[in-house]
Amino acid sequence: MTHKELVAELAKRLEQTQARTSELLETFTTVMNDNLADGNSINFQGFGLFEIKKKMERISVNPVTKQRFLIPPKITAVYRPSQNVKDQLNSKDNEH
Amino acid sequence: MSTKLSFADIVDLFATKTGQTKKDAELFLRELLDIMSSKMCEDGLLKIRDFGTFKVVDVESRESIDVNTGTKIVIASHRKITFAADKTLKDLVNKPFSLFEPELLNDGVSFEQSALDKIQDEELDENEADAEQTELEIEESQNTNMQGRLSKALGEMTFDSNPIEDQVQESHPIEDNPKEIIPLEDTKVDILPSEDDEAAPFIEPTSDDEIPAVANDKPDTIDLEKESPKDKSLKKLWIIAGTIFVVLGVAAVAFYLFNVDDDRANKPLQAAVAEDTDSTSKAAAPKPRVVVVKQDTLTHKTVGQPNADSTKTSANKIVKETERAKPNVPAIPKATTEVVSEGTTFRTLALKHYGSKEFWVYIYQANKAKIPNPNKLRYGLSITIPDAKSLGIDPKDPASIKRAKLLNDKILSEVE
Repeated sequence: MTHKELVAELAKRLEQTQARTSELLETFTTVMNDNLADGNSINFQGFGLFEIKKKMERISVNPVTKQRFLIPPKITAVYRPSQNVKDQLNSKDNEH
Repeated sequence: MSTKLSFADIVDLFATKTGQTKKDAELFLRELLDIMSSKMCEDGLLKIRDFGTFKVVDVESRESIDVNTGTKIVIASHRKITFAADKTLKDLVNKPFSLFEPELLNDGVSFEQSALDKIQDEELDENEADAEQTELEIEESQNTNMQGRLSKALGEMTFDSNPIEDQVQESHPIEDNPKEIIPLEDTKVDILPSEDDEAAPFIEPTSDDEIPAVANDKPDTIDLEKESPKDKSLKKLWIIAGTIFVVLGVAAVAFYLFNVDDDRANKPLQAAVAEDTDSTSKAAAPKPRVVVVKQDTLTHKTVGQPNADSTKTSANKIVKETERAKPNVPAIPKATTEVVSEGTTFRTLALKHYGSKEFWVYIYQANKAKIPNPNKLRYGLSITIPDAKSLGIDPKDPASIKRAKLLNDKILSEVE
């Protein structure tokens, strides 16, 4: 599902214009992004947890040239799905 | 900072930001999350602009061992959700580390020896915890390389040192000594080109002082002295090396005194000297010992040598001066200065003034005089930042950035 489809679906359910929905969705992402950038973790009950994790620096080797690179440490945003979502996936799996 | 936010907190923030009532905001977010979770599971893919992509991946069944009972168990194949943050979010979150870049490791650089590693880590923690760790580590390993070369060179030099030592103790005619010593010094210079390069930026613009270079060389040699075995001949050799440094220093001072009227001299020199007080003070400790051991020979030598040395250094300087002339040209017009504060790197300066961290090379080039090593920037140093227009650089122009990257590689390889 792309961003557009999501906006369309959301607008249909909320009975709002797509433009307005798109605007709101954008605001939502900025709220999320700003909080994650500040180092906060965000937990949505029944959906999952968004948080940031620090990855340590590491050495990676280019398999073709055999050159070794020191990859710097970085901070990444991660998502941990809740049990609820996992179960939903699993049930889908069983149907297959 | 790192607080845990719940759904209610986000609803609050979202409501205030959009000017909606809390009820509306909550409804919107509930619907949104509902659609997200259901569509994610159905379609296996969900993209949200500026936020990220959720994807469902199949995981094959695999065997594992139950950690509690030690029995083999099979983890059934299942599906899991992966989340890949959008570039916008990635950059936002990674902002504190955004200045790091992958660094090519040369052969011989190894992080395996845990003891050495630990020492390095401790040093780093003490010095600048959040500064450019990677670069420092690499630099450190280069230093060890250099020291390795140094010790090799010393092995070759032990032959020369003994006769001189004998001569000195028997107090032979003074005329003999300088002759012996000059070739010795030459070999040293030949053997250690990299060290000279490192010192070179110091000498060039001030045009008349060798002291920083000498001081720069010293800490390394002292370290080596500590590390190397208690070999007596080596010790003697170090005493000789020490005297040579002292002689060089005196020669440099003499040369400086002859050229005080040189108008460009004063300011950069002061900066360079001030910057190097650390290393000179370190170097000062062992120096007196050397002087005590062979005070008489030292004075002989210093009397005999200055002229020869100063001519040599002046010749060197002319060559370096001509080399230097080209890149420094665009640095003058409309430059601003900035005092280096804690945590500042060339890349942060470049990002601030030019809009791209790649352009740090130009700042380095403009300040080469004050900075012996581009990987080390001392706090409190005032840095000249040339005008972006005069350099012809543009952060939006890929060609310009490419040029800067090439220059970056060149400078870093020179330092090595």
